[in-house]
Amino acid sequence: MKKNNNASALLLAKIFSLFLMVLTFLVMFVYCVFLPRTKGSDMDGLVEKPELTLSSLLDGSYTANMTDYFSDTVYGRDRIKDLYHRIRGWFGKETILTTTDGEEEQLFGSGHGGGDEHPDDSSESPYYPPVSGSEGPSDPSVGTESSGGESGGSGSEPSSSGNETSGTEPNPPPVLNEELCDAGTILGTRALEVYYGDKNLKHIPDFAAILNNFAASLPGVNVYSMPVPKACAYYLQTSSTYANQTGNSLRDMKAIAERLSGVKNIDIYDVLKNHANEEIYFRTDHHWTGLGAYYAAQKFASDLNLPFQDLSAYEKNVRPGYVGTMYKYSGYKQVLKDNPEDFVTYKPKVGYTAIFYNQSFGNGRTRSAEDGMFFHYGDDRVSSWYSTYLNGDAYAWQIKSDVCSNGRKLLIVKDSYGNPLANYLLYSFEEIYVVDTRVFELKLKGFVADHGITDVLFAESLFSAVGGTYINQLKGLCS
Amino acid sequence: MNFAELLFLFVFLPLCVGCYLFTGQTRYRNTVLLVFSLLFYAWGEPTKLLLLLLSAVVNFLLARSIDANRGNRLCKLSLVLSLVYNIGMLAVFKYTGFLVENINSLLGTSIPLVNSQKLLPLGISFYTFQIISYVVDVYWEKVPVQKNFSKLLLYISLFPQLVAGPIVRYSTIAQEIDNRRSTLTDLTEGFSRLIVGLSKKVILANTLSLLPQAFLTDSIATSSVTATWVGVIAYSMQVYFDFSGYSDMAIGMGRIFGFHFDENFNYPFICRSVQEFWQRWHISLGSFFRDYLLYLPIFGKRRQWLSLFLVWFTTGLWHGASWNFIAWGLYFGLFIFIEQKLGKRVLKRIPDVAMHIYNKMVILIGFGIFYYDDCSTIGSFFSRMGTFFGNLFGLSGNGLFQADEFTLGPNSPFNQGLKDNVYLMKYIWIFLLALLFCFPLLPMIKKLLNKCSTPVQAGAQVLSGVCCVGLLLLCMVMLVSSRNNPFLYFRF
Repeated sequence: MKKNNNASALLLAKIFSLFLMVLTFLVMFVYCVFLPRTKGSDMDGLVEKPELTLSSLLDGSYTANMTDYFSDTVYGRDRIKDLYHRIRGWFGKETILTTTDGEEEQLFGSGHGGGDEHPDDSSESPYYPPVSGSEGPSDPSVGTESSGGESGGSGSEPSSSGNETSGTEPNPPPVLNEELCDAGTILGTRALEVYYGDKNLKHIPDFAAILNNFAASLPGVNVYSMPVPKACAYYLQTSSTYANQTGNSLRDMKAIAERLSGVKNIDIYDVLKNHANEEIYFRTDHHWTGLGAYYAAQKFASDLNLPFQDLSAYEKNVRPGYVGTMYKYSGYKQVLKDNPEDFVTYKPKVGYTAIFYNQSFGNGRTRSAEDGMFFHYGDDRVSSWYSTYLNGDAYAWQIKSDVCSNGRKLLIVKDSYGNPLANYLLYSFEEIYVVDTRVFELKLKGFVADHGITDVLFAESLFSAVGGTYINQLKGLCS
Repeated sequence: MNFAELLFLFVFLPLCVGCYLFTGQTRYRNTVLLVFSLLFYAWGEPTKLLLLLLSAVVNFLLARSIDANRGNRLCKLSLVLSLVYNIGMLAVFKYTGFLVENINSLLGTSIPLVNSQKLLPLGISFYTFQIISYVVDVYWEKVPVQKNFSKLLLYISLFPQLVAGPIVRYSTIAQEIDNRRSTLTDLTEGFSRLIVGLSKKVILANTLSLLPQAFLTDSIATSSVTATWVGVIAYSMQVYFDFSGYSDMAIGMGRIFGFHFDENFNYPFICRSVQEFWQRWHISLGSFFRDYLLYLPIFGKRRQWLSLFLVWFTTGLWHGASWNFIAWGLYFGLFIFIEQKLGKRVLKRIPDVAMHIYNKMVILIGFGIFYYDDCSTIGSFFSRMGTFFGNLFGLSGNGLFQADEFTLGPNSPFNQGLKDNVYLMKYIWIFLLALLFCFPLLPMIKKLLNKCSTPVQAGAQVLSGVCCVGLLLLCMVMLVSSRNNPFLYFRF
């Protein structure tokens, strides 16, 4: 009798156990199949539903994309992700469940997420310097590395900064919340993407050489280089612990400038430094703001002695609630989500014509006068608002100014940092062309000749300028 | 389709199991399984399904021919034709690109390269070996020839083991194809095995995969000695949990459908020698080579060691078309050869600690060689290995911890590189957890429970069900939240 009872107890336990598991599968089946798909996310871009065509079906891309779409748009997807990050939080910084890095890599590489492609070297991890080889003593020609970073633990600039102008040193009060995150550092409510630098000069000489050769092959065309430092160049020094968690932007910018020949360097390091207490970089995104680009454009026009209008010539639009890419890249730090910022654009009040093209400069379509260079990204794609400028990196552009007829035509060769620049140069150039180094398919030399371009500006984040992949792409474009 | 995807787990599988259980008779159940298996394969490789079907047809006919022509030359000819066809298909689809690249590199020719990744049908290495085992077993009269094509096609295409093994012998499931039932124990253990396998893959392997990516790829040139070792240990565990996780899922799903596949992994890292490691690692592959290749008298009885190296050369090559895999196979072959020469008696006399240190070093370094699978030319292989070994043994000057351009502040408890700090500390828990699960904890707990009273056993059974549900939900959350879900079996 007892034996029978024992056997029944075991049998019941087995049935109950099986019932639990099968029930879970059934509930998940109903959950995944019958509940509505998520259509928008305030975390990042969603995978779009693939289009069924015979070729996509046969090459397997339809089914593969459908699988991704199914996973990415499951009902309550953002809440599930929130739960995931809460679980991570239980384990503190030393989480056991961090898997966002792979995501970043995919996102950087594919540009997935509403055209919000990361500008940096996709082949390199967001954690490490693209520098190979062992660390040697720093090259005296490009500054010292004794403090390890922009300002080092002591907060002083590298000793080689001889031609630095004395700017207003931003000196905000010390922040309480300091932590390392997936893509760099969080200081208070600001996320700073790490900059690795090129201490061993593995890439900088190549970058400069490409520009020099390009300029030499185009006599009569003015060529400029304007690398843009990352935000950590100006803000990381306020950290008591992580001030030296960055490569040295000033040193690298100088190293590039010293190697340029036949190419005019547009040095915006001090310009931005002087305005670092304004919102020149986003707190929640890895880009600079329209205001940062304005100051850079002003310096560019000033160096070229070209006309330029101040911000009063622009219509200021403020869009609150922006939480940019760093929310994702930081590993979804709640402090960023809880402290959104304003997305501010300055739209020219004067007339111009904006035409966008595919990457081989075909299929040109003219934008309405009202929209011009700007695209509206809805509230369901908050993290992609930076693509307001030129719709991200998806198109090549030709912008014809109504207020400038000096005969000068500018070509901006850029990564995503270059997107807001053209906006401010309508008074300086008659025509502005904008192409993205990573995706443009035509050779630049032919393009310059074909369109009668007089000036070429290479404007990219410093991160890209010292990154191997970007340099390779630039080399191909300039060959 | 990949087992570790929501579409498979929560749509394909429930529909398949539902239809399967709804149909009562084995022949209808076979039809359900066949339809779902072909759909499973076609979902990822629509056009390459034709190749799988062609292989099934060709080998079905040749096996029938072997059976019908016993005692005459046609029998052997059919076997030879089958082997030529199968090995030929494998060679053409898997190794052409590799061959062309090496010819170009050696002779300076510029024969156009084929994209072998695009060309390679998913799971061809697994299903080709299954087919070979079937045809050879028919020839050796170990199994009766299958006269029903759909049943043979079911054996070849059965989705639980189609893309990532184990290599199931026809003899293992021949009877169950005709006659099987899923008992309560099969269903319970099948589902829990499936979930355990999924957890190994999603929670352990996927997370661990970030460490080798960081330390062995992205910054191999600057990785410290510690980081390189952590990377290679993490990679060994990643491959183990990924591969054994897939095997667990296959075995679990097999049991749900009433099939009983052999075990493919048996806690390989607790081995005492390299030989034992291979008796515990990817058992179905090792036994395939043992039964179908090792004892072929190619080199004569006096030169059996040549057969041994042939087996390990082939084992390496089977894992992928790259020099690192060949080196990896021969590397293990060398140590097995040495162990065989020393003999069991000598090995037994060596203290356990020394044996464990020795074999773990050999195994871990082996995984380092295995990792660099982009070595299409022998030059690139040596270049990769030079950097890897330099870092591993501190010969590259990178120091015990990363040479620190990114040194943390003086107050930091970890006076080392940012990378080392972030990664080593960030993943320390998962790393330790994975190390723990390399030991046979679950079998030990099971063994202990068997000695307990029935109520305790019943309670443990319920608890295991609850844990499985928790793990399944956690996997679901991770699959939604992260796109880091590497699939290692494209090259097979």
